[in-house]
Amino acid sequence: MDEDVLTTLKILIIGESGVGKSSLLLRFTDDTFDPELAATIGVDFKVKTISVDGNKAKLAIWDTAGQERFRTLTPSYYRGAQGVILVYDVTRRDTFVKLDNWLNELETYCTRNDIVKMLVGNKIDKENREVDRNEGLKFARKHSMLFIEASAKTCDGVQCAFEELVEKIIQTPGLWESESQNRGVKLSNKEEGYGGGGACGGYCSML
Amino acid sequence: MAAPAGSLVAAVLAHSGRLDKEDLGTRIGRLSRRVEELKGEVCNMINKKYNEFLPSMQSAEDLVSQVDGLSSNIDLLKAGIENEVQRDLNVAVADFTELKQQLERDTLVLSILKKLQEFDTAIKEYNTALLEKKYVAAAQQLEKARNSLKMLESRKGFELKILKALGTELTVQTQNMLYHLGEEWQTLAVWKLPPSKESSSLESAMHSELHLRTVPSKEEEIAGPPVASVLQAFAVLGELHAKLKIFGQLLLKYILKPLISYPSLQPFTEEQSDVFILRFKSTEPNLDHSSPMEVFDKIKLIFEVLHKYLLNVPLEQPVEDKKECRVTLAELLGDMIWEELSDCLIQNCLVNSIPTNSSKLEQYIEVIKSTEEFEKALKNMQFLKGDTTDLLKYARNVNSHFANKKCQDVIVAARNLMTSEIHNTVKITPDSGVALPRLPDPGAGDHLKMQTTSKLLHNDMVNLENKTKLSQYTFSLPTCRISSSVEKLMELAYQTLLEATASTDQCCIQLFYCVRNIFQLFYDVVPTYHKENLQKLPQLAAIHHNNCMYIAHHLLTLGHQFRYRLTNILCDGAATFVDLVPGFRRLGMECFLAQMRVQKGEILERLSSARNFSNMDDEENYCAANKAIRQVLHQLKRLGKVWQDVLPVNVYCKAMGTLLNTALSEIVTRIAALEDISAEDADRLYSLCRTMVEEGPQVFTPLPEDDKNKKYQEEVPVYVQKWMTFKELMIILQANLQEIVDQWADGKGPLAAEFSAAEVKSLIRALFQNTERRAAALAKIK
Repeated sequence: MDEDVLTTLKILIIGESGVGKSSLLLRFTDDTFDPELAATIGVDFKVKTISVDGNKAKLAIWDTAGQERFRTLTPSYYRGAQGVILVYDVTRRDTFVKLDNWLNELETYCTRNDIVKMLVGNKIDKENREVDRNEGLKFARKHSMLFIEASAKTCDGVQCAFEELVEKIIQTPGLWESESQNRGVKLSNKEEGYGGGGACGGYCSML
Repeated sequence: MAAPAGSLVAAVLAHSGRLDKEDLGTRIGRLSRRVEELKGEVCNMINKKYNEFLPSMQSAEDLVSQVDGLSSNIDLLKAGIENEVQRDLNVAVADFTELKQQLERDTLVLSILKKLQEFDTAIKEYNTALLEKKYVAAAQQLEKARNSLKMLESRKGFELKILKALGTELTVQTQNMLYHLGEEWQTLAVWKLPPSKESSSLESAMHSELHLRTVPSKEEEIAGPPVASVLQAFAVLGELHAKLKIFGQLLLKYILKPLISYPSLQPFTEEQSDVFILRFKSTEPNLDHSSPMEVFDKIKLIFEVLHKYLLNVPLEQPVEDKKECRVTLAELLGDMIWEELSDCLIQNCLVNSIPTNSSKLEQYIEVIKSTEEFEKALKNMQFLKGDTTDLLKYARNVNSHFANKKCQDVIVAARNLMTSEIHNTVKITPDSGVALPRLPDPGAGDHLKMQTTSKLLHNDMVNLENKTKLSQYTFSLPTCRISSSVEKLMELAYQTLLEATASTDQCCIQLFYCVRNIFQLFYDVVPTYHKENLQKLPQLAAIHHNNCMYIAHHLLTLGHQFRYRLTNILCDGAATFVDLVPGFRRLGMECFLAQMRVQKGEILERLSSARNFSNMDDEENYCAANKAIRQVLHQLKRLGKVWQDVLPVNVYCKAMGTLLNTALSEIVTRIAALEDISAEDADRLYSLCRTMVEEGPQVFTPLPEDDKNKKYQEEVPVYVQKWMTFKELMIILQANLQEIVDQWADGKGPLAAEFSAAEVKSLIRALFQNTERRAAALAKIK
C-alpha cells in the first residue's frame, strides 16, 4: 500500500473559530472549497501522503473545533503531535490577538517541546485586512514559528504551508526518526478524563 | 617547862582516875535521893487509885443501869400513846374526804344547772332575735348555746338524757336558722340562669342575670342592712364558706367566663328601687378575641358592682368578734375563684393577645399596664391579696410568650410547606433574588456584596487574567425549577430572621435557632415523607435536587446577611448556617444520584435483551437488538422531557450525557467483543449505531424552546465521553482495510486515540477474512 512512506506525522490545526481551519484542510486534502462550511464539532481527521524533497510522509491531520464550547475535548488531541498549524484570520484582529492563548494552550497540553509550529494568516483574498503581513511575521519570529499567509479560497499558500511544516519536521533531528515505535508512556484515553467533564454538581464521577 | 610538858599525859591520866572516884560517890548519893523521891510518888499514886477512883467508878456504873431502866419505860409509854392517836386520825381523814366529795358534787351539779340555764337563755334569746330578724344576734346566741352544750357534753360521767334532747333541739334550731338565712340570701342575690345546663353558647349566656337587693324592706330597717347580717350570720354559723363557694362558682360560670369568652357580650347594669340587676347585652361581634383591656374593664365592672352591693357591706358595720370576717369577705371570694379566673383570663384572653409580629410587641406595653391596673383595682377591693401577680407576671413575660408562639407558628408553617407537593414548581433565575425581603442595610445588597468580594479575590490572587470582571451571575444559582413550597420556606426563614433582628435578645436567639430548626427539620422530614415519590419519579428527584441546592445556596450567605443585625450574643460568628450547606448539597446529590443509578440500571437491562448484538443477520436477533435500542432511546427521551426546564442546563446535559454514555459504551463493549461479524451483520450493526448517533442527541432538550436546544445537541460529544469511540466504531464497521489503517495512522489517528491495538485487531479479524491484505493491515496496527 504505502510501503515507501518514510514516516507518519501528526499535525494539528488550531485557532479561533471561523478562521478557516477546516477550509485549509479540505483545500489541502481534497482540493475543494465550500464558503458555507459548517462549524466543526469536536474534531475532524484526514490522512494525506505528501512528498517533500523526495521523502514521502503520511500526514495524520487533526482539525480541531475552534469554538469555545468544544474546548474541553481538545487537550487529548495534542498528544504526540509533531507539528501544529496555528491559523488566524487576517481580516479579524481579534483572532490574531488570541494567538497568545493558543500558544499557551499548546504549551500546556503538548507532549513534546520541539514541536514545529507554523503560523498561517488565512483569507488574504479578502479586502478588509486588519492584520498586516509584517505583524504576523514579527509575531511568528518572536515565538520561533514558521510563517505564511494563505487563502483556502484561492489556494494561495496552502500547499506551501503544509510542505514547509513537514520539511521542517523532517529536518528536526529526533522529532520523527524513532517515531515508528511508541515512545514514552502511552496514556490510555479510557481512564483519563472519565467524568472530567466538569467539577460542578459533583456527581458525574460516580457514574 | 619541859617537865610540865612531858608530864601532861601522866597528869591527865592521874587526874582522871582520881576524878572518877570522887564523881561516883556524888552520883550514888544523888541516885539514892532520887529513889526516895520515886518511892514517895508511887505510894502516893497507889493511894489515889484505890482510895479515890474506884469508889466513884462504882457509883457511876450504878447510875447508868438506872438510866437504862428509865428509857425503856419511856419507850413503852410512847408506843402506847402512838397507838392511841393513830386510830383516831384515820377516822377523821375519812370523814373529811367524804365531806369534800359531797361538796364537789354539789358544785358540779350547780355548774351544770347553770350551763343548762345558759343554754336555755341562749335558745330563748335566739328565738326572740330570730323573730326580730336580728340574725347576727340569733346566730351568736345559737353559737353560745352550742358552746354550752359542748361544755356539758365534755364532762364525762354525766350521761344526762336531757343532753341528747338538747343536742337535737340545737340542731333543729341551727337548721331552722340556716333555712331562714338561706331564704334571706336567696332574696338578696337572685340568679336567673339559662334553662339548659350543658349549653354554654352565647345565647344561653345572654339569659343569665344576677339580681342584688339593695335597699332593705322598711320593717327590717332596725335590723341593719340585711346583707351584712345575713352574711355575718352565715359566718358565725360557719356556713359562709360554702355559700360563697356556690356563689363564686355561679359567678364564674355564668358571668365571668362568658364575659371572657364572648367578646360581643357586654355587662349591663340596671338599678331599680330596691334591686340591682346585672345582665348582659350583645353588641356586634366584630372580633374573634377581645382585647385584654376590654375584658379587664368588664370584669372590673362586675367586681365593683359586687363590691358595692354585696361584699363591702360588713365593712361599714364593725363588729368586734367578726373582725376576721370583715376583712376577708371579699378576699374569701377572691381566694375561691381567683385561680380559675386567672387561668381563664390567661388562656382565653392574654394568650390571644400575644402579638404574632414583633412590630406589635411594643404596643403590648399597654396590655401590661392595663393588667397591672386591673390587678391593682382588685387588690383595692380586697379581692386579691397583696402578693398576687399571676396575670401581670404572665403579661410581663410577653417576650418569651411571643417567641414561643412565633417559633411554634413558624415550625408548623415550615412543616406544612415541607409536606406539601414537590411538583408545584416555580422557576428560579439568577435575578429572582428580588423575591426575598429587602434588608434595611444601606447599599449592601446580596449581589453587590458578593461582587465586591469576588473582585477582591480577583485582584489579590488572579492577576494573570488581566482586568476582566466576573459575570454578575458568577455566584448565582443557575436557572432551574424548584418547588414553590421551598421558595416559600426560604421566604419564611428570611422573614423570621428579619423578625429576629427587631426583637429583644432572648427572642432573637430563640427565633434564630427556630430558623436553624426549620432547615434541620427539612433535612429529616422531606426525604422521609416523600421517600417513595423521590425514588419512583425522576422529575421529583430532580426538583428535590434543585430544592436542596437552592437552600444550600441561600444558607451560604444567610448568616452573613444578618450578621450585624442580630443580637450581640449571635454576632461572634455563632449566627451561621454555613455548617448546614454540605449536608444539604449531599442530600440533593444523593437523591439525584440514586435516581441516576436507577435509570442506568434500566438502560443496561434493556440492552441486555439485545442478545449481545451477535448474528444480526438473524432476523429475530436483529429485531431484539433494534427493539432494545429503541427502548433505550425512548427512555432517554422521556427523561429528557421530564428534566427539561427543571434541572439547570449544565446539570441536565451532564446527567443526560452520562446516561447516553452508559448506553453507548455498553454497545461498544458488546460489539468489540464479537468474534465474527459478517458483511450483513456489519451493515445492520452500523444502522443500529446510526440510530443511536442520530437520535441520541435529539434527547438533549434542556430548554422548552426547541430552537434553543440545537446548541446542546451539537455539544453532545462534550457530554458523552464515549462519543468519539462510538463514531470510530461506526467507521470501522463500514470501512475497508485501507481506511482502517489510515484511521489508525501509525497510532496517530483518532482510531488509536479511542481503541487499543488489540481491540482494533480483534475487530479487523472479526470483520475480514483471513487474507494477505488483512495480515498486512494487522501488521500496521501496533
